[in-house]
Amino acid sequence: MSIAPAQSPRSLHVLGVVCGLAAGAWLGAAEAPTKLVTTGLSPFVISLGMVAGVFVARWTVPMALKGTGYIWMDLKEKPHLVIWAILAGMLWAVANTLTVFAIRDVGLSIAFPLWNLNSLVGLFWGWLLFNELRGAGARQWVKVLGGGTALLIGACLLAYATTQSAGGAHRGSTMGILAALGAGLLWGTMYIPYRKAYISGMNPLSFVTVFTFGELGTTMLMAVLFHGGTDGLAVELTKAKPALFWLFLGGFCWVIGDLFQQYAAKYIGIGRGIPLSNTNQLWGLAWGALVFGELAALGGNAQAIVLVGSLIMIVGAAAIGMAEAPESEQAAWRQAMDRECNRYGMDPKRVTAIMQGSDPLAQETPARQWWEGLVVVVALGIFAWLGSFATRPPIHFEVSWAAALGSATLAFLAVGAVMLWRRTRFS
Amino acid sequence: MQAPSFPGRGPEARLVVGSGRCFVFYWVVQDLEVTSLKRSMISSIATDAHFWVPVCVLILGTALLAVLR
Repeated sequence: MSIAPAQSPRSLHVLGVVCGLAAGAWLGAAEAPTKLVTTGLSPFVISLGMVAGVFVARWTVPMALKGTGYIWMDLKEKPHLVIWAILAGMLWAVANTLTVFAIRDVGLSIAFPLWNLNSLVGLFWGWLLFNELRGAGARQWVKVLGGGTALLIGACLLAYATTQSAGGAHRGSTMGILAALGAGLLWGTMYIPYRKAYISGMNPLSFVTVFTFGELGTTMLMAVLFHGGTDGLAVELTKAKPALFWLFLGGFCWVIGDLFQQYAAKYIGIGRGIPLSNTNQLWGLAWGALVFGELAALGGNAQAIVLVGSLIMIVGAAAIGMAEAPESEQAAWRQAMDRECNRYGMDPKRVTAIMQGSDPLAQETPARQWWEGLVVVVALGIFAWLGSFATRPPIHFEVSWAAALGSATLAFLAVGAVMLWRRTRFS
Repeated sequence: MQAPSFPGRGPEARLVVGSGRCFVFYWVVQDLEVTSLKRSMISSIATDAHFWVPVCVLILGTALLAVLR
């Protein structure tokens, strides 16, 4: 396999922006299975079902794209990042559980924008720890900070409009707000390990393969703790059996979105990558309103608020998309990379090449093994088995809108995957 | 090794204690056998200020979860 030539910063910026937007589309699509909460399933079981699907996909997709030999060599080359990846998975799981409490106490409409503050948290850590936006001019600051704030304001407006639709019925609670803010803090901090891995030259596909252990282990622990032991959890899982296929499917969509998010964090940094992937709220709203008819009872004012909020979010995403890191900021990024190389004994030239989209490791890895195909078949078999006893949940579902949104989401996948392959060979 | 009983404690407590033991077994007992390279790596991680930021946030989040429960 040939190494992709080193890319110009501009082409890598465009690639990162496309990945961030594709992440938003796929993470938004992954929210659709949360509708199953309305059918009476436990939120913990829904979370566990999705994470189990995520676990299957996180092993299968990287192996199918790069092979186990590549992943294994990448991990052996940077073993210190294994603990970072597990830590990131644990942060994700605790944050995800906090969102369950936040939704319970203050409702999704208030909780969602609060935990979307993770983009500002990530922006802060990116600036403080990884030299992001250091040396960037005032215009770049305005674009990134202004864009992130616009996305946040848009999110608040969408949430407000949704609250009108739900009649504003929720239990006001300081603890719920704290839980949502806590989730935002944890999810924003989760990007520290992400960025750490990528300025060390690790492939996002290798990172997520380890990340998933921290994620699944912690989620299972939470589910057992909150269901009074393994027996209680087993009873809940049996009740959820007909819905497990949909949860696995949601987990699969989430993995695709997260992979794009990881590539965005690698090529444009977390300060720019996270706000772009937070456009998932826009997609989540589109799925909720158009496919599940959630906003059918919305009045004219609320509809106008949804429109304005959506437009503000699009403007915010566009501002960040145009905030390409100038050469002075790129130099600051390289300083952060050199610091990692010095601390962990890595070759700066090799890491620089990887950061520019090259893939030297691809030339050194052993040939693919026959059993890798078998793993893919087993993963598909799990989906087919779950599908064999899946039932359609008793909820409103607009097929034509689902097809339209599904097509748009697949288009993002196609464009993002082709760009990643052509420019980086999924490096 | 036979797991001792925990009078008056539920399965959750046993699970937490058991997980903690596994963690200690891996990172302490196995560590006696690690090569100098691994020791150097662990030392580099432990002295990396960046590492303790997510660790502290994770502890904070877990504590909040315990309160909410």
